[in-house]
Amino acid sequence: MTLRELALVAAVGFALLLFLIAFLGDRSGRPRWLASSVVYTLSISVYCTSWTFYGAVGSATRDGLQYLTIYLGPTLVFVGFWALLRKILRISRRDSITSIADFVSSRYGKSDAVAAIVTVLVLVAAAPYIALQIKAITTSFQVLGAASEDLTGSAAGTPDFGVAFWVTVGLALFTILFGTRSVDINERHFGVIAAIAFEALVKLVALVAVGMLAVYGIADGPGDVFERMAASNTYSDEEFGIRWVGLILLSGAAILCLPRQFQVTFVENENERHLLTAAWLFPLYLFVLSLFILPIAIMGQAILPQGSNPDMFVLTMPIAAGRTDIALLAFLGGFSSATSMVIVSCIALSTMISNHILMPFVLRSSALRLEGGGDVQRFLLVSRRVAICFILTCGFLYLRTGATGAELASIGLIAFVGAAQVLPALIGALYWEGANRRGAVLGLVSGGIVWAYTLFLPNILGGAAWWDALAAQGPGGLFWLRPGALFGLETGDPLMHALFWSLSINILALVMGSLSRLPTPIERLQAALFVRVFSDRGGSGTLRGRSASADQLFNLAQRIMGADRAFGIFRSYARSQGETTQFPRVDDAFIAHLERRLAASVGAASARAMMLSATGSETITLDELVRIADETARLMEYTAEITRKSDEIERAAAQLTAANDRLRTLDRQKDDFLSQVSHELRTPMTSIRSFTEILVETPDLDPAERQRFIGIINAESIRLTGLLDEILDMAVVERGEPERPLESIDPEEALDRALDACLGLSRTAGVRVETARTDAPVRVMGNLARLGQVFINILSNGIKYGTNDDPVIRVESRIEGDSYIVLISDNGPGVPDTEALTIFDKFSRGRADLTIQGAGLGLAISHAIIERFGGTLRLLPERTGACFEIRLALADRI
Amino acid sequence: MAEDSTPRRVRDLALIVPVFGTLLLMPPLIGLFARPDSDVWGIPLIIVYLFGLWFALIIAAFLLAIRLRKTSEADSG
Repeated sequence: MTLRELALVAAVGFALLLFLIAFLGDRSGRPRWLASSVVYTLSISVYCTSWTFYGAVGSATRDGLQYLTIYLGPTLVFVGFWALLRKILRISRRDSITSIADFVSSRYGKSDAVAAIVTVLVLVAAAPYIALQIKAITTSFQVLGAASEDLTGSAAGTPDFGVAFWVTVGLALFTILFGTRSVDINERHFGVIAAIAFEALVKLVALVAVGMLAVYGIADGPGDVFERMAASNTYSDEEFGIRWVGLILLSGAAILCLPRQFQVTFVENENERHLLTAAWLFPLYLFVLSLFILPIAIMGQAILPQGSNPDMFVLTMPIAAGRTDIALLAFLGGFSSATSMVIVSCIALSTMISNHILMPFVLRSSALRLEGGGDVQRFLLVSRRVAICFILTCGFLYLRTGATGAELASIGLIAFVGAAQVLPALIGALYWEGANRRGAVLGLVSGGIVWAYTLFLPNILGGAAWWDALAAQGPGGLFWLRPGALFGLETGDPLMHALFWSLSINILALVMGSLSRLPTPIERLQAALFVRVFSDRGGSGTLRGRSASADQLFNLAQRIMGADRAFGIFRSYARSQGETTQFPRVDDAFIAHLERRLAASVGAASARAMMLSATGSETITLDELVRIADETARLMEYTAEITRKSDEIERAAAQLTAANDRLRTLDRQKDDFLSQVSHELRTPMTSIRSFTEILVETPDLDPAERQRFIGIINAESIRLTGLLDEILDMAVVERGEPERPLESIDPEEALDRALDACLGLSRTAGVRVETARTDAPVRVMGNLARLGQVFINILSNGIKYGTNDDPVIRVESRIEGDSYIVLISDNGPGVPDTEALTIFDKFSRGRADLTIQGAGLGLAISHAIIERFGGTLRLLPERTGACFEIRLALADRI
Repeated sequence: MAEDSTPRRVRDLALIVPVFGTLLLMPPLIGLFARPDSDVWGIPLIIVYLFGLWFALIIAAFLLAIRLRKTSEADSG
């Protein structure tokens, strides 16, 4: 068996092994370690393609340490994961981002246009990169085949297109079988990732094996290698100039923007914490690879014939050393590098093509109506398969143009510059809220055009006469527009020239475009959700104010995800809502949830378009309004609550103030009353005491005089008793003790008696009493004596204040409806308004000094008595003089 | 990874380490070590410098990852 046949068998066997691993990885009961951070890190190592595996040695041989830049850029990005990777990862996981195009378009207002532009850009950039892998596999076959007679590897210069064609077909089949078995709910490919991780290990082992062979098999240990290294140490700081800086920047951009890197780092990530491992383990992987590339480059130069292709040292050196087993391992390592890159790139790119280019067309055409029967899931699968074939065909055609005659590394760098055009939009998406769709579109388009014009087209068209003329003279004779020296900038380094102009113009366009108009509401919303992902309250913009029936939504979902999965989502959501039905309540949260699940399959822009058509709501402007309105309403409610509370407090304070005032008044009245009562009691007591003292001290007092004194003492005692009776009465009435039972009485009789009793009093005071009495027989419930007392109190009160020149008291009684009414009015000074309210209070002094009679309890007692009878006693307002009204309910009419 | 519970200086360190790494890899600093015919134990100085710095960055990332993982595990239970 020749080496070439052996290699073919090994390659096929290796492919079968990969299928087995992928199959095991996809089973539901896959081993836990497959979800580990180590597998995650190894999958990121898809960064190291055959460019690294074969090309880095070539690059190290030709350009010295410059090959390190390709690994230092990613190292810096991963060591600095906290700032950048973590943010992208958090957003990608939150929004179920499916690709770099989805990420960027999602940030810029879920725009179809941005997604399509990014897709086209990275697709074009991927063509040379995939061509590179096809070339690497093809030439490695050729080198192994020719190994017996030619060790220079010069066969690599002209790839055998027959071999290349079958390599391409094989890769296409391989990728389709691997990557498009189903439209995954989260676009994760566990099996593929497991296989990629395995390939990463094979790459590492193979390269380390070749490196060890170089160090210990060919050289005499590290010392010998270092000696040769030191001998060739011509490194000067010239090497670390603009190109060094530019290449580190470029590789740092590539690790973020290459579709396959975005796929494995962010889309396939299962656990955010895996990033913490990848942050140091991935740089370590690169470190080890880079370390072993050096001795291979040094020893390859030492033992292989002059003029050998350094890109094939990894293969030719073991053969030259007689170790075909290691050569075979190296071949498998190169095969792994190439296939893993092609598989992941094709999966990422085909997803982008179907989601961002084909899907929008389908959505616009009538193929996808909610009522229609198109099977979207099937469509997506087929379109992805077609896309994979398309991508690989592009790669093959690129190879056919012969543009890949150059060394592997420089082909890869062309792709890097293309992918790097996404970087400004990506960084703007994460850190600049002002960046908007217009800026992103202008930046991507202008950067892409400059890249194509200065780097991509010269690479594929170089050698064609018309292009060479254009390159020399400038398009249409415009000398300053020559693709190799744009605006007259002659650098002698087409790569740096292209990198500088494309990124500069890209960034300028992004900034100017973004500043040229205000962001739309959805752009503003998405910008905030991206830039401030860590200060976000959790959910993304879930308030949409949309509605649709669950049936409609299910119909939509099942055609994209398949009935089983859609059903699962609906049922689990219904459960989380606490519903027992199969379908959940359709609210905004559910619609947002479903949109995100759909976005995991078809991308944010398409998912949004679908949900818009399903829910029938128009634009985000409305959604935004709802959100704003909602917040405003909440704010207003809050304000109203505060106002209400402060009103309540104010009212309570006012009540307290009133109560306090009243208490003060009562307190003052009580003090006044006490001093009054003491005074009242003191006056008769003083006179009694003084007269008794006279009687005691002068026993020989004239009998007539003595009699007079005794009379005074008697009168004063009676007055004192009356006073005390009055206070007692008050206390009794106040306590409301059942005094005497109420009985049916004739109030007119009580009034008669009271008038008689007051006759003497009124005569002496010169007060005229006018009466207007009712004739009708009348009975009320009460007590004759008490009622008489009330009348007397009020009459005597009126007589007391009869200070008018012609004092008159008018007494009226009448029956009104069910009431018996007595009005007693005088034409005295009346009751001042300030007193009117307190006139019936206990202790009130009423309207004048009380030295005349009583302690001001009369009216209070009267009031209490009438209330006990179930009637009212009140002072009628707005009269000259005082007018009291006594109103009693009639007892059974007679 | 709720950052509130992550010690602030660890977070700051996580941001500053790559910045320093970048500075040390860029001219003019790197030019100091790129001298023909200067070596350490027979190994060209620039190679020792580049791989040494690289490895130091990996160690720094490793230590940071341990610290950040500890705090993130503490707060997510």
